[in-house]
Amino acid sequence: MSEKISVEVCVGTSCHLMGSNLIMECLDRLADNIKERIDLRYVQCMDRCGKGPNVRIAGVLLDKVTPETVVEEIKKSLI
Amino acid sequence: MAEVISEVTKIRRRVLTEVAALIFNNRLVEDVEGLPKKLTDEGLTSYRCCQYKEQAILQERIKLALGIDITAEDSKKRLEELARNVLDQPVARSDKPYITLIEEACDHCSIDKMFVTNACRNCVAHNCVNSCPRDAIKIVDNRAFIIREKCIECGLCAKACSYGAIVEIERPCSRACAVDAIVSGDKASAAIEEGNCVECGACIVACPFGAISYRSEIVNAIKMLRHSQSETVALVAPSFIGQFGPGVDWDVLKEGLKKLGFTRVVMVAAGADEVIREESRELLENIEFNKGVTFNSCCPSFKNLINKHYPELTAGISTTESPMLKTARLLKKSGDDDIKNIFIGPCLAKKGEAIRESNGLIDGVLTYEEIAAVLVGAGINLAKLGGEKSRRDNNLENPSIDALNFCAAGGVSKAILNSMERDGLQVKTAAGIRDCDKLLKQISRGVFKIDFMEGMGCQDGCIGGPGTMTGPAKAKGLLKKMSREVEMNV
Repeated sequence: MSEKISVEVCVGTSCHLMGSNLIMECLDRLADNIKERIDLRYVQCMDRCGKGPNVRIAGVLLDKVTPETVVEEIKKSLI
Repeated sequence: MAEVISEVTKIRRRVLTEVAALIFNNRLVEDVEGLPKKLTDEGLTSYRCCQYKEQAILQERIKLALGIDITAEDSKKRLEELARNVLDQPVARSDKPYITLIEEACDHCSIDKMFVTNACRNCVAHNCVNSCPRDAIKIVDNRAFIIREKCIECGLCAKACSYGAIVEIERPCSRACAVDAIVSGDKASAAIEEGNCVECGACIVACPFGAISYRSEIVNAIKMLRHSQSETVALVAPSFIGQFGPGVDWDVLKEGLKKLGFTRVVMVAAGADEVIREESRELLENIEFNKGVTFNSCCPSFKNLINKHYPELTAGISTTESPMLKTARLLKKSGDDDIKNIFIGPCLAKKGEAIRESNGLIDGVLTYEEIAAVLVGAGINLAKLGGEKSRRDNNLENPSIDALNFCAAGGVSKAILNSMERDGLQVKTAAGIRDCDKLLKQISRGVFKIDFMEGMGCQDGCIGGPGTMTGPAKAKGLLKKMSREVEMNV
């Protein structure tokens, strides 16, 4: 069993306004074999308000993400 | 309608947030002029021919965020001057429509419905030519050519073509509009026909260029919160559940709104309970006196639809005030200026309702995205709040399950049926202006007889409103969960 990667999604009001809920929904729809390798956490703020939605995947902060870029990054990190 | 948060939505929200932040930082007049450049420099928008056009469009978006009627001649002034005016002038609200077209942003997309694409191969059969009842298709330069003057846009040629080379296109705004309120304006841009518009906001969601938007009320609201000597009350619509992100429940939202300056935060669902009682009584009376079908009065778009497009049915609209007005009335008597009531909800049509019907009971209407932008502008992050459970105001924070469910399609009729406890009631529901229109048409023609029709201007009801931030599917799930919790506590 390979190690899990951490995925942190900012749910602060600023990121929420910019669509962080879409990021959460897309993570919800991931295939089970990917889902079980993700350690998902909600974060209150990443101090990058105005550049949202922000996520941190395996420790790397990404701003202005879309559901597509998040899924792509997760898949890259899992290889 | 928040199912997909498009770039257009993000731009609108970003502009609202920036304007709110400038006001809170007392920098609006000084910095507003440079805001369009700042935003393009940051790469917020880069879709048009050049950044000057982007900035020109952003200027209009900023004016709307400031609450300025961009159709008026004096809106052509510099942003700085306009900003100074809105800050200095006493809070005055105009009855101009809130939904408005940004002329510069409209892409003047094709108004010709039938369109021959490159897939046309000038085949031998020419099914298109043969299928046309008006002789409107000729072959020009080895390709089908539609003679606009003759074309009646029936679509038969598109169906007939073996290659699917003829497509039927319609402007997204006019396709989304079920009441023919989007017409062709000057310079081939879109235009809103006020006489037909029911203020549902479907066109705003539909336009991929963000050319239709709405006049915001954030400046007035912030002014009331910052300078008002009187009490400022937030009246929060039943659909608030899940709108502000995970973990933001009633207590957290209330804490955040109080931090922002609201002296009291109440649930409009409390007013809905009164509406259920009153509307049920009215319905009973109407049935006894054989007055025909009764329509719910809580959805302003649905009411607009009947008033503007089915005048013969207006007598059937329930005279019961909407939950917003009921709740406001519980808080202040007409003409009582000591309390400022600000409604917070998913709806754009409520802005018009507040002007037309509230007699001063409602001092402002903000959508969820507007209030979120104000919170962010003030530096308040709801996700960081939530220390303790607040004490509930017994009267205005403990609505029934039926009242909470007012915000989902079918909720109003269910509440009425529950309260009537009467068998054999004939009820029909419709959600979305198009479906409402269909049902009203049948009722008007006497196709069937019913006692009550619930009409909702938005698909899924209020939880699908244009001012929402969370999709209706998610909101519906959370609403069910909350209803269960309330049930368990009773």
